[in-house]
Amino acid sequence: MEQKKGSLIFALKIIIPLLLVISLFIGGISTGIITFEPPKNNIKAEPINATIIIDFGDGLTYSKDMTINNSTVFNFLIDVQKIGDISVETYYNEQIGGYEIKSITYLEKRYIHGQDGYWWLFYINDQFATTGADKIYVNNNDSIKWKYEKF
Amino acid sequence: MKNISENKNRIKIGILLIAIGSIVRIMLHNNLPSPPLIYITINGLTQPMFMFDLFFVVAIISIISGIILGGYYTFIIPISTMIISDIVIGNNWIILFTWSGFVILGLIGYFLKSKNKVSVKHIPGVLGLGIGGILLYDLWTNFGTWLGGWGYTYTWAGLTLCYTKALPFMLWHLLSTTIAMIIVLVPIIYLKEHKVTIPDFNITQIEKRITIAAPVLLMVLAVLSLIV
Repeated sequence: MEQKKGSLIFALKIIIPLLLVISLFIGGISTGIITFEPPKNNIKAEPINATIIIDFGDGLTYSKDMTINNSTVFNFLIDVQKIGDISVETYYNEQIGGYEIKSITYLEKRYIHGQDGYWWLFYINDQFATTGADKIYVNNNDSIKWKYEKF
Repeated sequence: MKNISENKNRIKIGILLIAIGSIVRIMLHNNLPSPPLIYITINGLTQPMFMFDLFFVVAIISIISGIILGGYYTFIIPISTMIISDIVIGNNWIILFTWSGFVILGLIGYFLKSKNKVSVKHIPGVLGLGIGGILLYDLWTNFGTWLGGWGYTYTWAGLTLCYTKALPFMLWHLLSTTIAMIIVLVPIIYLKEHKVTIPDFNITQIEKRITIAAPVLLMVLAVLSLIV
């Protein structure tokens, strides 16, 4: 009897927290806190200030403070292109369902994604990002770093 | 003679843990899959719900080092794993905060061992304390991020924003490390209780004191490194 009670308490100690987590997740979905599609805009519809740094991996870096409206990391890079300092080639990758960098040209040198083991990777506030650049929305005072690095 | 043999075993297990942690961390670096397309809106900010990193690798190694080895290894193993893998991966400016955070996790493992909580009937408590340690790690390291004054104002709003932005990483840490604890730690506890005798190493009073002092010292150094 005691053993059964002990087993029940043991099971409840596992089940109750698990049910709590599942409930919170379902509750988040039903209230709209958790969604499965990236929002079309940031909730705060206001200009976003961010710093974009591009490290070309050969000692050259480019840095710019930008202010634009409701944007993804990808859009920030495209906006730098509009200034005229860099040229960005992109393509739509159907496998991942998003846009990727094909190359970035700076000072007449073209840095091609995937050439000789060098890839364009990006970091948000020094944290390596594994989600597509067109899926991450930039928040105010974020630092976006694009690095052309070997891996 | 017994002491020499015991120390040799301790060192061997320590080296094995460091090797596993470093190799796995280096191998998985840049090889993590893309996180799922789930987004969370907190405090007006919408972000991916999970941002993947390799926290769980060093976290589980730290906890295991505390449980199996205890003493000096509680901080030697996590720090060595980080140093070796950071030579390849690199680190950031809150390095002392992350190191001390992992040492705290090792200390939690050691606490569980010293209180004889490493048994099957205490598995819920072990997991609970592990999760508590993960939350503590994130609270501490993100405090360091805010304290560094980089990107965040020294106001309550700045602190809140810092923790809000850290949420995807914290949720991933909780999920990945809980799964890692279930996969790795639970079998270790089960085997310890049923089949495989994991040696209990003798730990002197001085070693116990140094083990507790080490994370405290690291935390103090971490704060000083930012404010001085």
